Amino acid sequence: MANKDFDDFISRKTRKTVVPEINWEAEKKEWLAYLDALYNLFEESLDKYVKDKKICISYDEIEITEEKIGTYKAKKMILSFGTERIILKPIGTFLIGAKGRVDMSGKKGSVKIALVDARMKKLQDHIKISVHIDKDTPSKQESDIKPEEINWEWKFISAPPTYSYQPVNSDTIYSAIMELSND
Amino acid sequence: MTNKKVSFSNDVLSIKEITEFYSRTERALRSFYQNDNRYFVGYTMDELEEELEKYIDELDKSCTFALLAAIEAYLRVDYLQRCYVKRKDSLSKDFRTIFKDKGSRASLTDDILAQWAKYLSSRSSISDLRAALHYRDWLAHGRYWVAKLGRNYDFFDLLTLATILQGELGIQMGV
Repeated sequence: MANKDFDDFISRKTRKTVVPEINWEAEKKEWLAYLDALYNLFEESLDKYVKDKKICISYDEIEITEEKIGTYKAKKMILSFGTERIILKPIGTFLIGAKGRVDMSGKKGSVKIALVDARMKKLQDHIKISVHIDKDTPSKQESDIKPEEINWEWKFISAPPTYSYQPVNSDTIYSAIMELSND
Repeated sequence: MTNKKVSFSNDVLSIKEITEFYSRTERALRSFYQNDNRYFVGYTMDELEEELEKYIDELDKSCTFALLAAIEAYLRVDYLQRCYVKRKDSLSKDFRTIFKDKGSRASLTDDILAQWAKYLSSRSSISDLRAALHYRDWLAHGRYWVAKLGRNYDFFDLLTLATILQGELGIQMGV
């Protein structure tokens, strides 16, 4: 084997990479603040129905264990109306392609609400590489999105196969509640 | 060493098929676990919800296992096809070097994913898959040890990974 190959190998293996230190406690606090923001969106959208005593909003605490930040408590939102119960259960913050996720479930099924880059319109937008240098091999193309520049936004994820992202607003909240309830 | 050609089965499930199975079974479970179902006479609401969550969690683990197994199958078929068809791109050439030595017994992580990592600008999806394979091993071996995986996994999380991998690697997995 040529010495150059070995030189390159050793250089590659010993190359110093600067890994920024992550403040896990701050990460947890940020995630829980985003979770509160999501619950606020639901409370604002349902305010009229709560005041009319047609919908009751309550919270329960659940424990989430994530290896990097340990076990912590997070709020679970419960919407009750008639004989229906819709539960918004926080899943965690260390996820692939998202900063957080809440699973919303009712008698008829469940939907996902993910905290993702506001620019994303569908699940497939997570793919960072779009150019191929030859027919069969993806190119080396650096992503121009820096994590600190991401504007995180809660979005409903539609059912397969489209997996489109819908903003969380009154219209989409009402649709999700109706979709998950017996009618 | 003579490398015998693998006969592909066409039995590999698409990611979409696994997802459909997951979502339909989840809906069926939720429909069954209703408080007016006579099957649950004597249950409290909390017991009903706990049992439902337990079975949905089991469904999640089974489907996640199927999903990761399918991802491995797509990556291995791609590896073998690149070797059989003798494509001229650099990745295929590197795969053929491995193939001469190991044939179809190439390691998914040490050989196939290691080569892919050299050709992608962002290695995070490959790292994510390597990490997720520890979760698959934990499931495959009956979960008898306390898994230190660095993160929690669930079906949707790994469906997102499959979607990213299909796009980044250009391998059709039927997402």
